[in-house]
Amino acid sequence: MYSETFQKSLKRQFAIVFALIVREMTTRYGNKFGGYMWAVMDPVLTIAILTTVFSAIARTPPLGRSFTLFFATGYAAFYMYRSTSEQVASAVEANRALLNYPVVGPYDAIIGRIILQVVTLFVVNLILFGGLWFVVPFEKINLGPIMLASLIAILLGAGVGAANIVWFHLNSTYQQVWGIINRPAFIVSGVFFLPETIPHPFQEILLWNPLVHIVGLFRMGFYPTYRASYVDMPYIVGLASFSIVFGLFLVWLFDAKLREPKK
Amino acid sequence: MIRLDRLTKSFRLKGETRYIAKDVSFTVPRGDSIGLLGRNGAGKSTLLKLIAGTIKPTSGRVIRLANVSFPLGFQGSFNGSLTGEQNVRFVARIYGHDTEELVKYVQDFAELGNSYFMPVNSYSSGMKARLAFGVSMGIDFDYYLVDEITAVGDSNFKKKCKRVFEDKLQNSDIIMVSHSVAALKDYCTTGIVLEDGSLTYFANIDDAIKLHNKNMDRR
Repeated sequence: MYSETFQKSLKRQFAIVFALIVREMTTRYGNKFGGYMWAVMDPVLTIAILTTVFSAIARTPPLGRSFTLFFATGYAAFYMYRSTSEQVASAVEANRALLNYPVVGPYDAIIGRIILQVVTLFVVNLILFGGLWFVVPFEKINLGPIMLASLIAILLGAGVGAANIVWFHLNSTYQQVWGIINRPAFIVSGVFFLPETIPHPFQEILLWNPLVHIVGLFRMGFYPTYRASYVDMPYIVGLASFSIVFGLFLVWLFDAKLREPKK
Repeated sequence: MIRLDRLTKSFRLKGETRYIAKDVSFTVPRGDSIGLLGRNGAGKSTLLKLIAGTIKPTSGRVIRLANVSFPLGFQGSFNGSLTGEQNVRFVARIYGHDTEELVKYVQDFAELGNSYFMPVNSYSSGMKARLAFGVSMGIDFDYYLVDEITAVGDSNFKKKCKRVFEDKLQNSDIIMVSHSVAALKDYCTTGIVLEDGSLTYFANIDDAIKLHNKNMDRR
């Protein structure tokens, strides 16, 4: 048992992560299928509200002719980041009881949640844009930027979430502050406007927000003529890579603290 | 075998550092069952968790050349919205145990009837305890960790638990926290006494009990 080879222990670790995923799938929204609908209903309702409100104020969306498609492409990218960061941030706290099993560690809970989140988001987006296609048939889409934007959004979200596992655990005031500061993130991420339309000094400030770039990149896949020249690939790829490495490093560094209950 | 290597565990409490173990080294060979003794708050449960590896030492390390269990009869992990059977499946999966076999074993052991396939939410505390004990007995470990042995169920079930557990102890050892001298003498051969942050190991449980009683009389 203890003279396990690397391959064997990797297989074991995989079995543990798999067990956690199965458990979360059956419990995340209660034990009913109806519960799972909420993962889809969040973006659907948000997009519906945005469409209703903005089509009353403006005549045409900033891009294309459909308000629904404009907000869907904006919110879907934002939602991938936001939901991943939230899910990962609560991964350890939600599975605290399971840490009483010596074989289960904080990393298993985190990796399990990231994998489940990727699968969930894939299905959600498939339903969302599949359904949307019947309402507003969009022309040919370009999967390259869409996949790339999704990957960056999820990596960034997972990294921020992993770091927040540690910060939230150490300081609950910070947790409150984080919640308040991030509420307007939705407004300044280019979900319902294009950064090109924002006047000078503010545009430069806005472009510090990586989500603006991610949303722009995601939209490029749906609007073949949209250039989004402000998208700074090295910036967002670098930031996402740094955030996931840093987040997982923090969890490793504070492993001992995370195993003890929150003060 | 379990070895504590220069193990230190301390907590900071209101600016004051309290030690549970300070630079402790010793080896527990396979074949010895250990009783942990000490007054309330001495850190017996913490030491048990350190040995299990679910919490980490402040410095030093615990070397486990053995397969150490989760706390015997642990039920904190049961998810209320899952059925008893689903919860058993989960434990089987994380321990790489044959799922069907463990599900069957616990079904027979816990005697929950149809409730086995009902959400754990609907269980009485006795039923939960039976399920948990069944899971613990269904997986083989080198060391079983016990934080206060608690009797479960009616007298027939108690008898069965004792019989199966003693059967397990033919091949496994036990590390036990208890205030009951009778239980300690029943199950343990060696003992550790925790007092004021110091930790004393005795090769004979009777000596450990003697020192513990002396400590209790002193204060």
